[in-house]
Amino acid sequence: MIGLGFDKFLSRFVKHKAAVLCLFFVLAVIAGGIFAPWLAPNDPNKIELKLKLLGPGGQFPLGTDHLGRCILSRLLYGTRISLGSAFLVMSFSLTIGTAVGIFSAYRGGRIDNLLMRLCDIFLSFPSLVLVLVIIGVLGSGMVNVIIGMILVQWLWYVRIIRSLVLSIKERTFVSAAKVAGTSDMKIIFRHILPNVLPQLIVLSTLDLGSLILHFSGYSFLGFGVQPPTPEWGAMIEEGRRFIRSAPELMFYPGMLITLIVISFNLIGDALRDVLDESVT
Amino acid sequence: MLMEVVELKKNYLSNLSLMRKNTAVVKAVDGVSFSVGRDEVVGIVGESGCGKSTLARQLVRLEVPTAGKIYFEGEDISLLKGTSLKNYIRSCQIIFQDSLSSLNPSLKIGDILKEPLVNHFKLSKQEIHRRIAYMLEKVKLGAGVLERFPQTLSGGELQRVNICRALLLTPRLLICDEIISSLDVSIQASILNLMKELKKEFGMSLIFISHDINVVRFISDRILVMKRGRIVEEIDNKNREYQVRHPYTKKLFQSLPVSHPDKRVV
Repeated sequence: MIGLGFDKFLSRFVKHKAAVLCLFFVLAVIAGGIFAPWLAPNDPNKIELKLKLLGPGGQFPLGTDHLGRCILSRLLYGTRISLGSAFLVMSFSLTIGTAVGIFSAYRGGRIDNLLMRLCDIFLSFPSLVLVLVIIGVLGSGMVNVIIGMILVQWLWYVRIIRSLVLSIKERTFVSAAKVAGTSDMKIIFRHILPNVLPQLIVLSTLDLGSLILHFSGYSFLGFGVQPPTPEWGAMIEEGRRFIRSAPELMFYPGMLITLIVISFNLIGDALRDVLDESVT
Repeated sequence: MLMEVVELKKNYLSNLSLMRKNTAVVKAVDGVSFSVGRDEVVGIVGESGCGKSTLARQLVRLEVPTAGKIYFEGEDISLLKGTSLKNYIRSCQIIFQDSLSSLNPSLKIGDILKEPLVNHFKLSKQEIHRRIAYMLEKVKLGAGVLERFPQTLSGGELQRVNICRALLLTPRLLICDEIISSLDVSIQASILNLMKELKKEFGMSLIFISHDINVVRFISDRILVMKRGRIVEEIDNKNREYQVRHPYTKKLFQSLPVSHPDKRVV
């Protein structure tokens, strides 16, 4: 990474104490999602109406919801979908966006111009509207929401990556590599990609938070995850009707989303600071 | 004759738009003709923005000429593509002004120096190491630089790395585009002397581009004076007697600081 060894990178990153804390929190939540089958005290989908709206304690550490399902278990299993879908959307849209962005910037000329105008057209719509249109065509459901989000999200990355590549492409070392006989493919993978990678990492970390928020939002609106599948946004929606009698039904998933989004933002900020330092 | 350039032109369109037609044309290089002999050092001098660098970039085909021909050992290289272009570039290398920016900041010097050898030859690891070590010694750098990143080296060291990279392909013609202008004066002298030595040792031709007529006078056999994309005067530098005619050249010579007012050359 821009001539920065991993140990040096790490020693600078740990100076950002809040970000380190956030990183541990995020890792803990991810671990909770991965090991949900072993960690969850109860079956997240088992309805027991006799045990509905119980307070925390005993068999149910965080209590139960309006159908008597274990809230902690639902949160743990919900992590898989809420975080998993965000990672999925991120990795697909970033890959497509990077490929198209590099191609567009490196080729230049008419193709570049055409691609950018196409991007402009799509980006002039609010992304919520575009995703709703795509869901309207494909039908609601988790997979369709993810597809819709990828289709909208990659356009943003094309623009950003294109501008990053354009600035790198003009640096002399790319000319020097050409004169050394390096092929275009090798120039892209050896000289351009490693130099935009730090910014890409910062960008994707910062965006992960908003993707989680968006996905939960679609579930909240009833487009994404269908009941009884546990998901944070859907849990908020289900708890909404009991906000007076049992506000904790909304509080737990809401708090989790808030903390995760803040964490990703702080980690992203810290990464940017560390990498900025290394450039100057 | 190693290289012959005939009426070379490069125009830039200043306005690339979907809707409008391209209007303004900037003539960066406007009909330049010259030749470079075997073992000869040709200096090109001119103010910044006169098209020196564009000319240099065209000679190694980083820019495609708008018009004109470039003959290298009798073959027109101005429209070459693919493998034949790659083969030509092997015998005609360039070194740029900005020594730091010429090196990829995310690669170690050792990896940067391997690149031209890997691209052009099928060599064993030992052979690559042997050649790099040999050439590092020629540019007077220690083997310690191989493990370091570009931004940890000094300006002079960086430019030596760039020279080393160009020489690893043993070019017949080496183009030096303002290679010492970003260095401080004491290092400028050592790099200039190094270039003289290397030129003698490897028997290559040089095109030495600078805005500083003193530097060009020191190293060149022949000097081309460039202004606004054209060559306005050609000066034989071998016997160091200058009979300049063009007013711009006179100005250039007059601008030189001299040790005594009576010693002005023009």
